[in-house]
Amino acid sequence: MRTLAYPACLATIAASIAACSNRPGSWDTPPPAQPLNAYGLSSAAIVLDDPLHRAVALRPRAGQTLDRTELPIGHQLLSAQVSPDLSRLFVLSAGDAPRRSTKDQYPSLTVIDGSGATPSSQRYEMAEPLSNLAIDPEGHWVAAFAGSGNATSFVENPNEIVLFDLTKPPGSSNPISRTIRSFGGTPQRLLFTPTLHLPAGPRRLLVIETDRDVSLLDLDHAADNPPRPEITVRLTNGSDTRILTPAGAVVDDGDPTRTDDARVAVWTQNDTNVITLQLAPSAQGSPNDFEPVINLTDVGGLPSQLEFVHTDGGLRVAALVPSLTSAVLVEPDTSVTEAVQFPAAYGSLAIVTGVTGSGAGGTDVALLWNANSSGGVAFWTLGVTAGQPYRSVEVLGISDDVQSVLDVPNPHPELKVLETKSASAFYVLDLSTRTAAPLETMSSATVTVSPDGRRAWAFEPHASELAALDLSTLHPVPLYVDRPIDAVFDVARDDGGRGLVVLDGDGNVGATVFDALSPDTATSRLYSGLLLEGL
Amino acid sequence: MKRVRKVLAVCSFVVALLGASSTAVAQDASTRPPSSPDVTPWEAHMGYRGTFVESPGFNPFSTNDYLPQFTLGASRALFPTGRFTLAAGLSWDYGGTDATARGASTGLTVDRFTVPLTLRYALWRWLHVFVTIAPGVTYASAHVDEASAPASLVKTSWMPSGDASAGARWAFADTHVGPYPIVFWLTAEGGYAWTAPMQLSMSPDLPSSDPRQTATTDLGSLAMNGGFGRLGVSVSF
Repeated sequence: MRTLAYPACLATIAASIAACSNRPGSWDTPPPAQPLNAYGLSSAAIVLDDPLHRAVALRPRAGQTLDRTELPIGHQLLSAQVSPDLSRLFVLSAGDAPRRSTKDQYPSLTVIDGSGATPSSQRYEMAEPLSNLAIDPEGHWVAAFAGSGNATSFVENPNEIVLFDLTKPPGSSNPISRTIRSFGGTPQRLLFTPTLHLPAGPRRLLVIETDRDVSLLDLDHAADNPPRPEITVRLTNGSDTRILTPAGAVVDDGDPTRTDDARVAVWTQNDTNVITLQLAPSAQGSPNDFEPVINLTDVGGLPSQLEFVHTDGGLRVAALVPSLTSAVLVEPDTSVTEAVQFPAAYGSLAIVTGVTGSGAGGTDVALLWNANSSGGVAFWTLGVTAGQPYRSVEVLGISDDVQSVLDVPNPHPELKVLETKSASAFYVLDLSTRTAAPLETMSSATVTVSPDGRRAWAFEPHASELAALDLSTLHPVPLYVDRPIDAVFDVARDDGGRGLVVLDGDGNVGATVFDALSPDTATSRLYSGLLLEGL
Repeated sequence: MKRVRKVLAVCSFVVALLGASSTAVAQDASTRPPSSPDVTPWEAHMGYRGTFVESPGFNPFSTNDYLPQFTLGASRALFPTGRFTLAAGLSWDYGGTDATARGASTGLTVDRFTVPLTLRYALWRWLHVFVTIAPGVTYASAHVDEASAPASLVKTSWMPSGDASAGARWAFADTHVGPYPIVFWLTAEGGYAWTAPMQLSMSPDLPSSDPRQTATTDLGSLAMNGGFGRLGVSVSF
């Protein structure tokens, strides 16, 4: 028996030792699930590591080195979105639910600012988890709302909109929570208007599209106490009882010298009427100092997109009606319409005045395409051409279906990159010469345009092929990365150069860093296990 | 699993020795040969060593901050003076640990080579206490099998190291092989282990001819310092 005591003792000691563990839980936390949550800012690529409640900012440096900075984000990631100027990343988090201790987090919005020398973050708490974001293009506001999708809490107020004033620090009056009056609808899309010259002065509005009406909220008085109520416009065509569902809205300030001609135009998913709201002076005693004057115009078919355009006849609302293979121009004051027949059923429109070398006399030129059918792209000149107003439609000979149109920033605003449904090509459209150069690919390519407007990157998702395309010469440079590509970000470096960060979401995230200005596989550098660092 | 197997192997060895020693003690208790170092100056030992490493750099490789090792060594008594004896020797501790780090398999193996200088004091003929200082070097090899890496991430390093410990040993059996006396000891000791820090800048294990430029993955600094204990058996002759 005595001989057995010794090994038993040893085993007991070993078992006791093995039971001891004070390793931080982060090492046992799995890496983020695919797909990779990565976003590109102007000076950093950001990888969200939701399991460890952090964002990892990757900033390329000279020699293809990579600086890594960790920033905290709220618990339980809901969604994230980059600001249009690529300076900030907004991250919505649900917080800890149920909240069992004071250390558990409330729902929040984390704002990651990548514009400084070192990325920084700021967290705004809110009372209810909301999973959808609307970002003010002018950088003043962000709105969080429930929107469509799964509920994030047991009881949810889908009509609550939380407004974050990004010019002020978090506090008791920031964010502002507003519940809009509901007539049965819930907010689906939010639109921040530019400054509109309204009867009582310049205003910025939040246009709230629910699934059955449109509300206008005065942002300049959003924090008033008591708050000014929003103005709700219930959508109906006036001839039956159908609930009309908004499909989108556009805004125009009108003549800058007038204060009574700002307009919001709305189109719906289930009615052929275009609804314009002219923002006129309000009646005496009204809580708001403007009110919408509603005008309905039947355009003969379901519009796919609206845009305010300047023609040689003045301001018009252009409604694309693919079912009629035409556009309808609506005179907003009189509702007089004029149809313009197209050679193909175009469903999307972008104003390209100013970069096309045309549009003289203050009239617009629009680019037309349709993601759902062939027909390529066309230019629509909205001035008088050869005595035929609005009829100048110039079709470019692109046989592929154009899936999307990517803008190119300065110094090449005259260029657009056309992604097609085809697996074999994309196009670089030159608006000034009205030519479209095809670029053939061996497989379906995803194209991104560099924020400095000088090059585009094409890659096949989850494959190793990558190419740089100089947008001045259209000269492609083939590149190769070892790992499957999940995301590509062209990022500014501190030394004035630029780096390309190619991310691979396998495991704990890898990256291949190129010199974006002279990309070469031979000088690229591989990084592995980026999310293993800093634990 | 590797560590468990090693522990079981050591335990089995100890059991075998204890069994043999019990028999020997029963047979020849009255004629136990002297365990004096001038009679049996040479000693060979083996044992099981456990070190508690609290360095953050150890976390990727261990879930319990514990480094198990197997010990082999030999020494010779140099200057027996009354009840005191100074002994010098060579010792090798080999062990390792493995774990996962955010889903990636990891491993760390450690070879520790020391020159133990031991001062023993004989309380009785069959029970000695001792203190040891053991300067030496340590070779550590770490790897992380990370999915985003082109090859396993590795780092190896030689580092100066040393141990300071105190313990006791018990002569639980003795016998003769021909004319030569042999004494069996059971040894227990504890102390503090020091190793210079190792920067865990992990690089893909690619051939030197591979033209790719790779960056390191920085897992921090590993300092294998901490208290340790060792149980072992030795034979002096």
